[in-house]
Amino acid sequence: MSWISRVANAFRPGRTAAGLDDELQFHIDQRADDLVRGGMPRRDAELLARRQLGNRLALRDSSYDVKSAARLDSFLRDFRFGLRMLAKHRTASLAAIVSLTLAIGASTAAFTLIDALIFRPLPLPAPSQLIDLARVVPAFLSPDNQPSESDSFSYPQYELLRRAASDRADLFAMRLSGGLQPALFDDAGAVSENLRAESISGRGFQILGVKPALGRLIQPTDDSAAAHPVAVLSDAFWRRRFGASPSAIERWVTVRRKQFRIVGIAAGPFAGVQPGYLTDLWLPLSAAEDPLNLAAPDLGGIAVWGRLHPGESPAKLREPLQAVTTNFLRDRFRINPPLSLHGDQLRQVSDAPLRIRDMSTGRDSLFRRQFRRPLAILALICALLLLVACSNVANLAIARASARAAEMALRMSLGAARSRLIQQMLIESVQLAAAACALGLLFAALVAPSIVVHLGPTELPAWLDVGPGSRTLLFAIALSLLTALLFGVVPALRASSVSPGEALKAGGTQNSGRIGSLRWMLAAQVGFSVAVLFLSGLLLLSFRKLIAVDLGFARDNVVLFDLAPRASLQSWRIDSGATLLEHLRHLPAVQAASLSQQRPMGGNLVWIATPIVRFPGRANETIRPVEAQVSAGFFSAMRIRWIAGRDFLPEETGCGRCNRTSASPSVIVNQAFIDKFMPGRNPIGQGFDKVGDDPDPVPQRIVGVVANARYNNLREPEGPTIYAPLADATTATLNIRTASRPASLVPWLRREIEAADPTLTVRGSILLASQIDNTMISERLLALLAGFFSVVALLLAGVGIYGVVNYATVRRTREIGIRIALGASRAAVVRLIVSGAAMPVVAGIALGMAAGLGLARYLAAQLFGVKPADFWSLAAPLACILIAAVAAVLQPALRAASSDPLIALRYE
Amino acid sequence: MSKQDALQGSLPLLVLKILDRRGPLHGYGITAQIEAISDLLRVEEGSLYPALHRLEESSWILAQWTTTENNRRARVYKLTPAGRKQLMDEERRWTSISAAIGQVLEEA
Repeated sequence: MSWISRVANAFRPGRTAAGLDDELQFHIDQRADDLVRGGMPRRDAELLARRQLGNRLALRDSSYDVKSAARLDSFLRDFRFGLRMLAKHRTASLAAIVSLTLAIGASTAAFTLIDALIFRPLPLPAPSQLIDLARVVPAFLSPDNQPSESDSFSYPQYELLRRAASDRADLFAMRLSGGLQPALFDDAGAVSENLRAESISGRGFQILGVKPALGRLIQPTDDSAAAHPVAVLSDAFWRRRFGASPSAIERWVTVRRKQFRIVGIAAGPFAGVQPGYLTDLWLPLSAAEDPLNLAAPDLGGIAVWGRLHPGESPAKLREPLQAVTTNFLRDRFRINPPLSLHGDQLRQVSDAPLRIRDMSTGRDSLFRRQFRRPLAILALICALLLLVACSNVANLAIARASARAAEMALRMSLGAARSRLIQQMLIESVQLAAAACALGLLFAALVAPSIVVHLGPTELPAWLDVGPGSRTLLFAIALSLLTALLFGVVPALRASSVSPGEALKAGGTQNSGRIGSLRWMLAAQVGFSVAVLFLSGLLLLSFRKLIAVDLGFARDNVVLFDLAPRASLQSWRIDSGATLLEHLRHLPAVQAASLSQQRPMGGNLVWIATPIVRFPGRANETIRPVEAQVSAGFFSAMRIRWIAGRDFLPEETGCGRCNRTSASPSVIVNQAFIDKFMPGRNPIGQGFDKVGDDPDPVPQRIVGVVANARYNNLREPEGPTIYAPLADATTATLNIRTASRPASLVPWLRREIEAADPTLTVRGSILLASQIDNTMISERLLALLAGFFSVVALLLAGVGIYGVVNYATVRRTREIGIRIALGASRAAVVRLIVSGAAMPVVAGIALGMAAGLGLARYLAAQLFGVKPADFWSLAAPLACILIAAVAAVLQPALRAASSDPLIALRYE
Repeated sequence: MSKQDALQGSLPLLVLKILDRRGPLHGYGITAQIEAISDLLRVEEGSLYPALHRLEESSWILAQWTTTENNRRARVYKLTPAGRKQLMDEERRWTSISAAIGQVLEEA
């Protein structure tokens, strides 16, 4: 009989019993028939036959045990018994469930986030066939001098690639977006909203395998400059913005100064190809992009994606595409050689390898790049926390099992097999874990979305699908079972190893001092807690260091406004900027005002220029300082200290192109630049060549030197920085230092700006202080979670130590009573109790610190200004755990010391 | 050692042997066959069915409900290949043990 039928039999005992009855009845009838044939009267024959078969009921039972899975039956019985036991020891069960819930919940939340951001395949058919193309960028072109990958191609190059690949893969083009842009819906009056709009070529949706939820998607016929411009919304955006109303279709939306008619909704859960980002709007490539840009063979920005035909491999596809890329670039370099590259460098760029990248999980978004390491650290800490909870629950279970030794002994002496007792204990563990699993899932479902909110700044929110899914469910269940095994096995083995005679004699509570395994579990628990405390401590200390960094400028009372021209594609005109600054500087609330090309402290959200600098006579030495473009008055608005020379003159700011006509444009450099490249020389009036966006080297003249100040983020050391006069730009940031707290002034300032210069519009504003906070998002989030985990770990450690010491003390009540009766001092009793706990706690601390130091290297890259072996890194977790240990030991020790010997001696 | 005890241990062997020799049989048929062959051995009917079900559980025999010639439902057991192998093993063990015991009885 298969095990399936045995399991089935256990659930329908009635049917099996009936089958057995039939069989036995048949036997009786046959026997009776034979006896009748032998001449016996039928009545007697039936009686005899029945008697011969024996007790039918007993027979049925013994057969039933064989036929139905007796094991499963006992399992069900143990299950019910387990529930009764858990309900009986309510406090211990509750403590176990709470600590497990926290650990499983935290781990599940972390898994959900990691899965949604990094590991989950795109919700598309056969995601493993999805690829994109990338070129390897040689080290000398990368800002950090490491070879990198670029997935930016020109549209004409894409066309060549698509044709060359057509036998093996369907390629399509997209312009992916890392940021948001203003869009105006026709139902919104004149209020624009910031959306992520991406363009996709006509066959894109079809190749990806996206289905419409409503209306239709972008089709090949839409992808031409002549077609009526259409737009498709993502399901998530449609739900948020239009409440999933079908009336969204046929509405008009203005993006990039062009009107698009909404024709459909892309079915969820597809939300774009960059996990972490929600694409709100898709536009046809040819309709959304400037036709001149699309036609330009050297202009990048187009991502080339595709789907491999079934059975095709990236390796086979690579060969023809490599040839196309190399030939294309060699042709381009012949026609239009870039001046910043020379000789062999040209060949290195044109012949750089092409990569076919697996895009089954989508393209790396900013959030994925930024949070890959922090989330791994989070997972590590969660795993440790899980071990803390497991050892804590194991401790509780061991203590409880000792109390149940009498029960175990009784069952064993009544013939229960050891395996039955282990089964019983494990079932109780699984029940605890199952409860914690359900609650943990709930915890994760509540916590994960609120962490997603903290992944991005308010201006660029992260979007992740962290709703309940089968992957999360499976993870939580697997984790809970593993947990149950981890915390269940030791107590189960221990409890079942009782010797019935002894245990029954001793009455359960007095069985001699076997708390050995309890000690080890306590050491393990303290160890894991200390490891959590140590790692969390590093993150907290590192965050403290980060927020205390010397910025080099004054962060408070500065507000930043992002400016853009109100109309059309015209360049930012700096003469109007000058008027604006003049107007603002005369307002009483404004202390200083200036412009910069980008937000100071833009962090990962802005692109930092790193032009090549060459000094005269040092041609082999190429230097890549950071370049910032600012207007006159920037340093006084930011309060960056002057060291030498002068600020830009108003006429130097602006007009990057007119600058070029004058002999050598002015530049201001920071102290680090001087220290590195021209130490000991008077820098004012010195010159160097700069190769930036423009391929021709432009000679520069140093007119001023300022103190080092962080420009982009807090973590990077203050490297050499050059400040160039703000040139033509399509956008700029206005930095205003106010006399008082600026938050309440922002709306008023905004109106002033737009009134002073009607050609401008304010696209966004933020306080400089908030902008700085935004560069520390991952660090702050990790510090926040680390703080939470430290508290949990400390609490669990305290509960564990208290539980074990309390248990040991209660068991030694008689002994202590005798000692006190024989004249032991209170202090001696306290010493006795404390010394019993000291060994495992100290061993645990040593093990935990060792483990923490070993694991700390995984955190190294995330740490700022903190080393694992620093004094505070070691002292802080030590102090915490010692305080917790003392607090946990004190109460039972004092209680024991103050116990009345008479009561203690009578104690049973 | 009482007669019944001796049979207890060897009942599975007898059942397997009978099924091997006589082909598929129902429980009563097995009893009847054993009794017919040996006047000495009486199958304790109460222990036959649990033994059959245990054998079935070990996949040495296979059970099937069939209808007899006089239209009664009967559960018929037959030997499986695994059962045949088990039978050979058991038989070998039995003969070697009984030979050993016989030798002791003769030479002691």
